[in-house]
Amino acid sequence: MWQYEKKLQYPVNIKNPNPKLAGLIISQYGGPDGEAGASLRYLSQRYSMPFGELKGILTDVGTEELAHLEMVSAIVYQLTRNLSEKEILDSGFAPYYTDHTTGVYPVAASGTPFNAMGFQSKGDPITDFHEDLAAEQKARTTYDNLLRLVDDPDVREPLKFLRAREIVHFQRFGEGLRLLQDRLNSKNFYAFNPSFD
Amino acid sequence: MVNRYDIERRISAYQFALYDLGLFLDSHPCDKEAMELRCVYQKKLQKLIDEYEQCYGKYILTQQDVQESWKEWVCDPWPWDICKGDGRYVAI
Repeated sequence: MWQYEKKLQYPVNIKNPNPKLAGLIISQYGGPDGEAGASLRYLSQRYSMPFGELKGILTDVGTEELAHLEMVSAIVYQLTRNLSEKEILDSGFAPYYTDHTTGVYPVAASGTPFNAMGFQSKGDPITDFHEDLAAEQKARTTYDNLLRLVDDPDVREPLKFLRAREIVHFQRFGEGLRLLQDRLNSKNFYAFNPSFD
Repeated sequence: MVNRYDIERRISAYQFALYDLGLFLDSHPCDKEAMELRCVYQKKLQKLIDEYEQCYGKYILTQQDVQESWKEWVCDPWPWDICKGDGRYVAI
């Protein structure tokens, strides 16, 4: 089970609303490499893991991604406060506003709603850990792309924290994959599914 | 009196360090150094929470921390509310 901690993992305090940025950063909520998909991916993959270390990594990282989901939500929420009709029309936020007002909804920056086709739970730990390594790099690239577009330090600081966590997770997943392969027959990594065959 | 925002940031930093050490230990469960560091941080965290509670009352992190009134839980701020640097919260 889970228990809610009434805090953000890293503070988000944005003084100046900016709906244009909100419409981009929402991608890390419900986009193809966003935190919703990350969390569901890792928490779903846990059940076919053969070793406790791997279950532990996926549980902790999957849980942390939920905390990141909340940080991204807080960024979007604070960037869309007190908007005038003119700001909505001038910023390009009008399509999102039409469908969701300023509610937080899982969608990509391009407008595609959250889709579970963006991740896998393949039931094979080697396959899943390779996917997880790629997922962390894809999310890191997305944060890099956002950081090139954002000047406001109030927005940059939490984005930099989230970017750094992708790198730590990549490291932990790499260790998980190595630990898994060390316990398999090295001549036979891909000949069978250690969770099924 | 310590600034509420500052002490909450320090508490949060130790909580994060403890979580991150736990994640490291998932792939290095036999690492004694990391386990020892956890003990050090746990003590420092408890000291900060004691200091916080002397000034501001019970430190509410989860529902299990609620003792007297459920208002302790439902009160503002919520995590997505803006917190100003002087420790005053602004619900928006």
